[in-house]
Amino acid sequence: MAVQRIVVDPITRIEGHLRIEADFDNGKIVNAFSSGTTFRGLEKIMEGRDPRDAWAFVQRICGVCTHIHAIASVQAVEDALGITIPKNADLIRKIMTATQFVQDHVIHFYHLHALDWVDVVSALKADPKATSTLAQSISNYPKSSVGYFTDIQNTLKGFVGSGQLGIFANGYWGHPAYKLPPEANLMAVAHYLEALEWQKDIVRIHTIFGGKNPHPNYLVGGMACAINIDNDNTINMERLDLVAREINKAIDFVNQVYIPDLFAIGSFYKDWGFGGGVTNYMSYGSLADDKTRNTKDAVFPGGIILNRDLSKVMDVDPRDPEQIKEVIDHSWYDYTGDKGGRHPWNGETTVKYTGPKPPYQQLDTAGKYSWIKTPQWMGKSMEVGPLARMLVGYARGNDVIKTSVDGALQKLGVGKESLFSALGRTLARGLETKIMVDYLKTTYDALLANIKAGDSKVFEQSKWDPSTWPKTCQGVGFTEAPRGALAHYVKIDNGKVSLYQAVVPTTWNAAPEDQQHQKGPYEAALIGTPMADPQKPLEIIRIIHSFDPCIACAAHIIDVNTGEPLNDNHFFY
Amino acid sequence: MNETFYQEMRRKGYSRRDFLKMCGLLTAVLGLEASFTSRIANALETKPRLPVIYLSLQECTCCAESFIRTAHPLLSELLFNMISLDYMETLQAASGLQAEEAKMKTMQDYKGHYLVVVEGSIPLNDDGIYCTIGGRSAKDILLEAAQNSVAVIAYGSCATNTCVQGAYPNPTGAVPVKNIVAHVPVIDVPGCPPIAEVIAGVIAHYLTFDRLPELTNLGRPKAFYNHRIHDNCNRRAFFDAGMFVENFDDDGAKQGWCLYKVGCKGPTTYNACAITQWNNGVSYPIKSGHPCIGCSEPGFYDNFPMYEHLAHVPITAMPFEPDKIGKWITGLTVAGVAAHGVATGVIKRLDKEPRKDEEAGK
Amino acid sequence: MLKKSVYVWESPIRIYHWVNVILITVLVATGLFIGDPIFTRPGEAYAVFIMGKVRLWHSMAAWLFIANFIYRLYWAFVGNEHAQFKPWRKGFVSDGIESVKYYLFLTKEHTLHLGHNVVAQLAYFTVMWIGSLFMILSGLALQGEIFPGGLQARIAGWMIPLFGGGSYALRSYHHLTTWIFIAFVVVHLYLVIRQDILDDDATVSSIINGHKFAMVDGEDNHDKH
Ligand code: HEM
Ligand code: HEM
Ligand code: SF4
Repeated sequence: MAVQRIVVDPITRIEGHLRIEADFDNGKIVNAFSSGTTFRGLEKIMEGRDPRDAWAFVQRICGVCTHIHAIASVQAVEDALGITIPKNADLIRKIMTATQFVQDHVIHFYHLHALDWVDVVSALKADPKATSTLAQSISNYPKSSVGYFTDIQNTLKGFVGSGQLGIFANGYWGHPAYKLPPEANLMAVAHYLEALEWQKDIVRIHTIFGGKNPHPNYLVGGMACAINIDNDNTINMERLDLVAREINKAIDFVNQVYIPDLFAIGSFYKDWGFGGGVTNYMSYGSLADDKTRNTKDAVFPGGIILNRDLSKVMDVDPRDPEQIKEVIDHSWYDYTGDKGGRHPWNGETTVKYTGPKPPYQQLDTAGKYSWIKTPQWMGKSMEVGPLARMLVGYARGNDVIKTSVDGALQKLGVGKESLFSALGRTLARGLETKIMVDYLKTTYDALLANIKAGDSKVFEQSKWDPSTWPKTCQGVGFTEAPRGALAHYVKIDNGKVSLYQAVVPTTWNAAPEDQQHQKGPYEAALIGTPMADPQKPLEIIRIIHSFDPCIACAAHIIDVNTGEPLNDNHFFY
Repeated sequence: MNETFYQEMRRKGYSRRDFLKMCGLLTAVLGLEASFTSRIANALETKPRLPVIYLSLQECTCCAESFIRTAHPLLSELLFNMISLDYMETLQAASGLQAEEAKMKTMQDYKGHYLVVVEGSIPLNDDGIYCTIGGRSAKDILLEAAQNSVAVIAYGSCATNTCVQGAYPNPTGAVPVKNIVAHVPVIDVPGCPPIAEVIAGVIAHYLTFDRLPELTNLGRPKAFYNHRIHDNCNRRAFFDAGMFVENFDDDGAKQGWCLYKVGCKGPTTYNACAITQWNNGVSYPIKSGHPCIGCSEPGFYDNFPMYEHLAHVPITAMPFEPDKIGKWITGLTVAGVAAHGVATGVIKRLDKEPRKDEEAGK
Repeated sequence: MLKKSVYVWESPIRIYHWVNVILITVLVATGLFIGDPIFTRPGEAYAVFIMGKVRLWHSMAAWLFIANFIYRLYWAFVGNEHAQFKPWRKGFVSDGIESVKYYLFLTKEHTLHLGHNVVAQLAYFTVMWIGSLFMILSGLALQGEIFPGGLQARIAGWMIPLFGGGSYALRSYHHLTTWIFIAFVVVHLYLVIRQDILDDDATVSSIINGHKFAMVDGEDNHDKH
């Protein structure tokens, strides 16, 4: 049989616009191409702006990772200007980061990923009684009575019966790749709805400190939310109590619903070991101690693993021009002069669209085919994200991560090699969420202790005024986003941004191939995967979803640079 | 929206038998037991849920994230009882071809009866290459979906004022929905993102009162955008009293004073933040100590720097400060006047001789 | 050269003028304060009301300013010819060119007008008529924001979408135009004092008592139009 080109566009249940083209032969995917199909060009927009405003622009890179880009941005500017933020601000930012991880991962699991494993229509056939028994056997979550599941099933029946299937319309229901029994499906659907309701509550932690979510507010030099425990219009006990309440709810939800579901569903799929992909993993590390700032023994340790060899970890330095480079062999950009890879400090984003004029059927994958660049570490494609973090942490010998990973593998009865798969990613995400809810609690306690000790400072004033800044300076803010390693680079000239660059997780993962046909992680993960029916790309989206794509982030939005001196005529401020 | 499927079929000359037969077929297609036939018939005889097509164009998905956070109505109530969300990339089960088919089906079956919600702007430069879905440009997709809809809700600042990608110099040529859609009503629901309950509220308003909400002079539903943040701000008393936060975390900040002098855009921002508040009434930026950045207003990114008091005139694309410009104008004027005065004096002295007899004449 | 005293500025114009001087001073001062409230006072919010008072004064002055404006508009129709502005009259353009030449020191003599010369008329027209009208409409629109659907919003609400940046842009233009008023006053004071010194025609006192000196044998061509 001739090689057949499968096009999946749009890939839904992700952030942004991703297109996958895959070559299908003999029941398997033999080659794959990942293309980001949207571009916003924020790089040009950033030029000449006030660096203190930068976070608000780059936060809008992505509304899903709504917190982390702003954090990376303020960190980059603080790094450039040499600002050390007060302890309270550091703790508050950490609480907000952990909150984002927990919320984002739960949404991903239930609302973006679950329907790849859970057959909603099959849930109609479930026996509520058996479902209740199943639910009670894996968790002490209070909502697990027969009546509860009967209700859910009736709602679902009414819904399906209406003939208007809404978001479930045209799903791949009944596809042979679905393996769960009806009862597990019903339980998962019930928790889909519970998670939907719960996720809107946890983000209130962002609302307390940042005023809203999505897109809470930040401040270069600290946080804007003044702490005064003896005032009614500031962070006081009532505000903090709300945070505590949401943290407790989150701990319950993750322990009683998410983790049990993850293992329950995972145990049915543990033989589906596809989607491994590239063999190198990278984490910048984040949530380090505010004094040492050492990412190697941070909550998420930084490092590099090559060839899935967990016995060795290498160090990674986002500032090193030798280590991090972006190539554009298959991306719709051009470099002036040398067309080889470039470090973000001297990167460039000049659009050179060579793709077909829309509407089109197929991309020319031999040439340039994506708005996403190809970042590499020492010339190698790297996978970033929860799996990379867990692997690096494991290899670094981080106790919490090690116990957690070993426990999970034991529980599922599989070996470490199972981690290198779509399921491994999904599992790592769950384990990480558990680590994060616990971290939320300890960080919250630390914040209370610090306030109790009499410290209420949240903002460092000394370097606020542009007249106190050096004439030129540059900084990096790197951290771990829910989807992986993130770094923002900024150069400041005469108080204005002269260069801004973000190299974001999905750029690493969704990258197109390079000149030597070294595949990006998405592409590599798809190759070799069998498909039951090439018309119904369930297997493809399952693997892609395991990465939790975020294309708005990836499609080189911010990569700047012109390097040329600022044209003052643009700006009057 | 007022006609049920059943009524429509009857109108088109089908009998009840045909109708029931179709229900049976549908049951089979959906792979359900025969007992579902009566349920389906029942559902089709009652008013169908409002079909909604939610398009994501050039955006960051913050709007969708906000949408799913709605607390009243809960998203599940909205999805199960009020609307039929037939297309929304962020949530729908189907991908690729199957997703597009679901959309086509709704556009055909509910011609003139479905609502389109658009998140994101439409990049027009270079034939629309900056945002394509399924190989088609954002503009095509929007026009096609809007054509037979009841109304288009431009949801979020991208769709109403192009938000960040439309900031100077707008490299992709992004335009808002109202520049593209002309023949059906466009309702602007701005904000980056809008408050969850606001978008849900606009849809519920339409469903409950059977008409589109009344709009303000800026084309937004009065129900949510009638007042400025400033008019309902919890720090307003301090504004009137002239008690301002001068620096972040100063004594004023610790007392919750007004943020006007650290750049609050509340006085020029129409939104429900101060009333509805965010995430089920918890807080909103000002309450949490950060000035309002004016995210629901056109061109707000070009009204920055964020932390300076609003005094920047967005003439063309770039802002500048009226006070600076003004002092400049005044300074130049004074200089000009002085120069002119000196020149007058000099010339007069040179002219003194011939003038003398005139003076004598007097 | 003989001079005679001519009654140029009727009392309504003089009253208008001085009321306007006071109101514009108040409006500029309060307006700039609203834009940048430099005096602040700590204390209980109920006890101090600085911003509120300043805004109140601005609004009160604004209403009087509107009334005064309408009053002057009325007088443009019923007043003497110095109260009018007629760009369509014969000789307007040539007079204008002459006046510009005069101020550029290209000619020594200027067209003789007891009222304003054409350049002055144009300046008064753009700043005082168009400028005031803009301040009034934009100001009303800003007031209308507080009570959507109210009187001011109905009269001037359309101003807000007119400017690309919405409410923010309008407010900024209102602020910017303030500076045009300030610059106008500078030029205005210079010109009247200069006129008085050079021609010794009692220009300055004319706005107080209404009378200017005119050359008896001088061409008094304004009478012809
Ligand atoms: C020559 C006349 C005027 C001048 C020089 C003037 C000047 C100003 C200035 C500088 C501001 C501050 C703008 C900012 O926030 O940056 C202001 C605000 C304002 N002006 Fe005027 N203005 C004039 C006439 C008027 C009139 C005629 C009205 C109303 C009918 C008006 C109503 C307002 C209002 C409502 C505000 C906003 C005050 C607030 O609530 O914060 N102004 N004005
Ligand atoms: C806010 C300040 C002022 C404004 C806005 C202003 C505005 C005006 C306007 C609009 C006129 C033309 C009268 C008409 O056609 O209705 C005028 C005339 C005049 N103003 Fe003022 N004025 C100001 C301050 C002053 C002051 C302080 C003086 C006193 C030195 C002054 C002296 C005069 C004189 C002498 C004339 C008659 C000019 C002529 O004969 O060409 N003005 N002013
Ligand atoms: S904080 Fe902002 S919105 Fe609130 S009163 Fe002050 S200026 Fe107005």
